[in-house]
Amino acid sequence: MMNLLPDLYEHWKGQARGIWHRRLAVAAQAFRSVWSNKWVRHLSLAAWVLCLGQSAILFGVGQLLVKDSVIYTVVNQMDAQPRALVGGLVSWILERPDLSVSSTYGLCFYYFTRWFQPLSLVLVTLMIPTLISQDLFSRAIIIYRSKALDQGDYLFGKFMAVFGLLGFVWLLPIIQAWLLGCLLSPEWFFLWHARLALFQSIGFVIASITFLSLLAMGVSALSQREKATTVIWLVLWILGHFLAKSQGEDHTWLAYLSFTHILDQWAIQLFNPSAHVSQLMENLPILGSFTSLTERWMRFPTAEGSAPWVGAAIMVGMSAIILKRKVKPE
Amino acid sequence: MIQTEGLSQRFGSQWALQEVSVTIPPGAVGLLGPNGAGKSTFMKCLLQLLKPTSGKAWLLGSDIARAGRDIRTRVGYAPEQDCHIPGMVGCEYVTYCAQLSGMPFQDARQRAHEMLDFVGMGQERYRKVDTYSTGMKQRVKLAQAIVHDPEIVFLDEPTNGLDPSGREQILELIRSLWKDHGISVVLSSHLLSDVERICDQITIIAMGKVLMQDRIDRLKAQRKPTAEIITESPAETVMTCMQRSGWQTTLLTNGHVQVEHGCDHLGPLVEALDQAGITPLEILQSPNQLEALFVQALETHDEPAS
Amino acid sequence: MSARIIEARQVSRWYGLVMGLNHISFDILPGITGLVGPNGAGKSTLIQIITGQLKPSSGTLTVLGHTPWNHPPSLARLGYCPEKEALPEHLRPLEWLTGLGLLSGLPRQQVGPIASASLAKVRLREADWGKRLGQFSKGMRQRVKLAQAIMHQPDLLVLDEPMNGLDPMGRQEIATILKELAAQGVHILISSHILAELEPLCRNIMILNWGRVMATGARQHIRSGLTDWPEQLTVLCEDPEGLAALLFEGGYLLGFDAHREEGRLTFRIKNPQGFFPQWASLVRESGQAIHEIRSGNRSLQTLFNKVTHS
Repeated sequence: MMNLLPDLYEHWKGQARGIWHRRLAVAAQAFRSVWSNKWVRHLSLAAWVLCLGQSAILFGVGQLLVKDSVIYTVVNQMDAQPRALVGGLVSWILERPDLSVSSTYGLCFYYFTRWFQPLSLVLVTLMIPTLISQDLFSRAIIIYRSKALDQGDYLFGKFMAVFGLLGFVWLLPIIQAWLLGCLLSPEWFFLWHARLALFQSIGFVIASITFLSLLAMGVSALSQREKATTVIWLVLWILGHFLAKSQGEDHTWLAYLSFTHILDQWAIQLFNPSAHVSQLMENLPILGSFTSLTERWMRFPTAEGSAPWVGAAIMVGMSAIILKRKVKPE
Repeated sequence: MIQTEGLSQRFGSQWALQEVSVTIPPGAVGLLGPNGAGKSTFMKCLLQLLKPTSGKAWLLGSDIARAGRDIRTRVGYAPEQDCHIPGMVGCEYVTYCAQLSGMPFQDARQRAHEMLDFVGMGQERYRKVDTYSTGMKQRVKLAQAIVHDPEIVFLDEPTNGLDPSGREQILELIRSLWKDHGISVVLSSHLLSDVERICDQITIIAMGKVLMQDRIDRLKAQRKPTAEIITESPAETVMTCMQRSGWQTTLLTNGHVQVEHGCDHLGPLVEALDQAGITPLEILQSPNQLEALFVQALETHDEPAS
Repeated sequence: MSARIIEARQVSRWYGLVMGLNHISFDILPGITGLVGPNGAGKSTLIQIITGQLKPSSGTLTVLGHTPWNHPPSLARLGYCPEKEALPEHLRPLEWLTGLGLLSGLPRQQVGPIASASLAKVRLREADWGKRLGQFSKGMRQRVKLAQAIMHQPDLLVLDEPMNGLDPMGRQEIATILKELAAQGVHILISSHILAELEPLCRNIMILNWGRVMATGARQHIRSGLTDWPEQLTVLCEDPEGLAALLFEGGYLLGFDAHREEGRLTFRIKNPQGFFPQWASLVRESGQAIHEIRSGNRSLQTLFNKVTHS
């Protein structure tokens, strides 16, 4: 019985897919490459655990209105001052839900969104070596460019990967925390009145992760050596942190060398926490007796108009220049 | 297949390509030329890795300036340098390259394995490309260049670093691409023996210009039929014998005697040798003609090589 | 004194469990010798031992009568052109060569002219002498490496892939330089994968495979030593089957393959000694137009294939 061996080369008769399919392939590969790092997986899990914790806090706030809830019983066993404060809060919620829920949620989410920030920055640090430096080192750019991709498509694919990962650990958990917090609250008006907090959170997080993604790409393209790019990123982060601490109050231009300072400024501009605190102070006079607490609260750093946006634009511009010049086939 | 008109490329004050206008039909083309003379620049312009300073070029019938990246779904490229996308195993890498050329995942995966079979890669395809030997890297480079079934594939020194048996295998594979499967090949190489084996046309680029571009058999036919004689007798005896028959002879560096006999077949040579009592061991047909053509093309432009 | 340039007796080199060379013994004779073998055969290990960079795990290897390991006087008579391209990027070629020359013990006054002479000998363009090595192309680097290998007029030149990166003209130039050196009495050992280029240069070869010496010596001796390798010819003609029939009648054939469309006949010869003198009369008798007579045993490539696959 003779078997005819098939010709090992056969022509492909399919249709080539569009450009978005190829960009997605780049993004998927970059994502898989970073997801294979176990610390990335652990941190992602931590983000979602954090989201559950935040939902629990919001649930607790909601439960203040339920007379037979555990929280209600616990509060009733507290001292006079905290009991009075909570009582004031509850009546305010029932009287003016539009203001109270909006302020409370607004203030909560000002903090909640920023709790994810250090976690996201660590993830970006882990992502930087495999993002673009690895490709520069192994001269993969020339392979990418010889395929049906331009420099823009390659960079866009990488951007989608970073944005996707950060979205998964920052944007989605925060939305989930909001949803759970609202759905687990006793009254439906929570969903409606807390909507501003949701929009502010989404706006802030999207701006932040876009900014961080573009910065990360620029830093990653600076060198072929993975360790060098990681060190540069860490230096920018840590140095920036100290600059922001020392110079932030005075809003000197030095402070805007720090991307964390820019993110802080954006949070203040978008969430306007001082306004929420003022609302709380007005409607809960009892808060006046908590002078130490209120003094701390009142000391929010003030936002400097367009300065953080200009600073961000300059950093993104530099990143774009680095990417255009470095990500080239040799 | 490839057509250029006034293609020029300038780097600073130097012109790497000067007004190159050429038409290359489908087939297996050898791209020859001294180092730094415009050969790689020409290839890079066609692959859109460089933007030409002026001039136009058409690849597979499409203007490369207008058609943009979609031409490259029909073009394959295996660069000379050691390059690969890091952190993937062989079959994953070739599948990914197929997807980057527009193939859907299922088709890409299937073809990746088929192409790895075609280039003779076995279980190594499940190991990371970073751990591959030179031979395997060259094979996987060839696989990723043809995985999306291109109409034309550009190969830059594909046998670099390979041992003799590896070279044989890769050269046979490349030869079969045009001969058996109709995929045009543009082979850029310094090894004229490889080019002669695989290509039916050559294009010689030197000093930023195209010096010669035609089918090899046509170029060879323009020269007088030549043979290379190898015998056990001393070369001088053979030369004297050939010269007596009125043919121009040269003693080659390898100890063989080259004869420009101008006849249709070897009969007269065999007779002449027999009469002189010389036993021929081998009489090769016009070997090393490509080298002679190359030298001739360069000499007419008096270009020092580097 | 024996004319052996390199003498090895039971040389082994192990890297832990990994075998580099396995009890090899050979003699390299004067002239140009080619060192060939598949990747991983042990060629780099052997070259490193010959050039004194590695010590054998066991056995002895002498170069020009002395063990090269830790023996500067031997190394001074050796020139080595490695395969790797690592050159100091920031230096100019003359600067580097001068430095190496001084390290090799050349007198200070003579080093400059000697360095210039070697650069000229390897035909590096004068226009490029002023550039830094970091700007050099692959071919230019190769020439500089060769220049440093021949500068101190060694007795033995060891070259690892000397033609790497050179265009066809460059390859011819280097081949000519090597022939000139050989004519002047320099012994040369070339390791290369491009057998077609070793063909015209080397009379003697050494074939390595799997850390062992498969064959060594002059090519025709190796060929004649392969007794189970019948002489094979490929003839291009009009009627291969007709020619085969004629040869068969004459009792010359052991076996044949005829391809009518390609006009090719490949056959194995029963008695080569008796066959070759009859060629002319056979061609005459066949009345066919013969276009080529090619041997299947003569080239270095076929010899290599036979030895490494047998």
